[in-house]
Amino acid sequence: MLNIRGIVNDDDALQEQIESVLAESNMQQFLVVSVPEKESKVLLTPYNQVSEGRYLDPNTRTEFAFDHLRRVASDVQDSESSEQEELRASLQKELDTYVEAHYPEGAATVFLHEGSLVSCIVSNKFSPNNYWNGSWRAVWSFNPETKQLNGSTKVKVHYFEDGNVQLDTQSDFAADVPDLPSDTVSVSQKVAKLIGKYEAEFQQGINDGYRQLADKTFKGLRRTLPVTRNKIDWEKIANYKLGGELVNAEQ
Amino acid sequence: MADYDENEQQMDCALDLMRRLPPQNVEENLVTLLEVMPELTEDLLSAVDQPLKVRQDATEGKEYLVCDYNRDGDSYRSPWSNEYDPPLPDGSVPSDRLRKLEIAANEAFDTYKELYYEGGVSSVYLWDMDDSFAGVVLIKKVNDGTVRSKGSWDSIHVIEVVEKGRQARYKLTSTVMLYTVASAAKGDRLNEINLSGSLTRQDDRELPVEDANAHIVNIGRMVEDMEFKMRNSLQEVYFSKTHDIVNSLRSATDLNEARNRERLQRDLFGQLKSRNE
Repeated sequence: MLNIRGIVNDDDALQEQIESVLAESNMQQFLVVSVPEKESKVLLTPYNQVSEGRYLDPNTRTEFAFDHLRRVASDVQDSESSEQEELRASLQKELDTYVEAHYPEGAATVFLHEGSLVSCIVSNKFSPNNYWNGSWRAVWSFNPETKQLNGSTKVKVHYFEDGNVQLDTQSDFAADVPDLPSDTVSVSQKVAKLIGKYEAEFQQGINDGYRQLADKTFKGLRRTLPVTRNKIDWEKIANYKLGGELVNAEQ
Repeated sequence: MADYDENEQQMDCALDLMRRLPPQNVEENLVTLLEVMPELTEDLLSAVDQPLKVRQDATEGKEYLVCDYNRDGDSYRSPWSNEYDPPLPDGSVPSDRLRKLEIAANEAFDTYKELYYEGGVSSVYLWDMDDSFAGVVLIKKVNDGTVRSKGSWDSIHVIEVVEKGRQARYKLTSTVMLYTVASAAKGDRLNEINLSGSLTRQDDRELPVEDANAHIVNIGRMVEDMEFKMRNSLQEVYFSKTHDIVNSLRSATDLNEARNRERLQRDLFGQLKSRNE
């Protein structure tokens, strides 16, 4: 933040832009917000943005205003519930169980968006004093009509002690949910189970990737020591050429 | 004086920003930054490390690496021929004495590069300073042999030398940029894991300069020691630290099992304690 101020050097122009930039950033990060007066936590995403600066919490059926600069929620109002509420609430319940089982500090909210149930999962760890941050963000969209499940999971890790190292990986999924039972609970259980299965596969893929990079790619770039298994004899190397140069110069 | 301070402040902000932005987009970020602050172009180009580019020295039939230190305008000087490409009749070159040392350094580090990297390209550039001289040792190695993964290593070792009679003080600032990408095909999709960035370290030594080749020996040893340490740090940070962080975001196993186990242990401990009292 201070960096941008230092560069732009024009506070007024900055103030105008800053709120919308922060809003964009917070929604991209799936910022978790506590809804005032309610015992509820909701993710801020493009899927529950009602209007500029106002967001919906489907679990308490309320709307509230959010100040992106000060990160404060206010002005809680009642909101309408949707027709798909039964299925949404059921999937939310299944997802909460799944998130509690696999994400140490994770949170998830299920939204109804354009006829589909969109589940957003976020798990972040910020440790700026140790010079690192990590974030896991997933979006899963289930269409009850077409029985299609589409998802995208993104993981980013940033380490910045005496340097700048980033892990960046993303995976997209698409599947037809097979043999869908008709009752709400079974449907949501099946969907949550599939989400868990794909995310587990994704995590395994990351582990496999790390093994490949560490054992093959990194090793193939630079040896720990030369084949001699000793550090270099620099006197020998330096003498070989420079000695020759000096001899030629003197003659 | 006020102008300089403001410039320096802007520079610091820019450098700090560059450090936090994704390293995969160094060039993009740099271009955006320069659009906002065109007056800092010269300073910024020499401060932020971009991946090293390779050029061909047609006359010598060898490759060399380019950076700000062998650049003059839009031309680059080859360490082998000492000529600029595109040609620059008045391009800055090291003094005769320094050029001799530069030639020897390039030969020595070419050997070093072969022994440790078994391939790749290296280049050493030296330039005269008021009291002494400075230089940069560049090494680049690319590993893109397999379909499943590829990577590249870029070393940039900047060294400042201050000669004091039969001693010399060497200040080394080293940056290693490491880019690695793993790909896995999933049906018709390609998943990529991009693990990239850089680490920077410094060293400072005062060493004896007994004979003509002492500088090569001293600098050589410092660079070798530094790369040894940095290779370990890179391995630790990239493949251990960041991996641990990923697995701290999501647990492959059910966390409730661990939680239940802990609760059971606490209960058991509590029962044992009360029994003994």
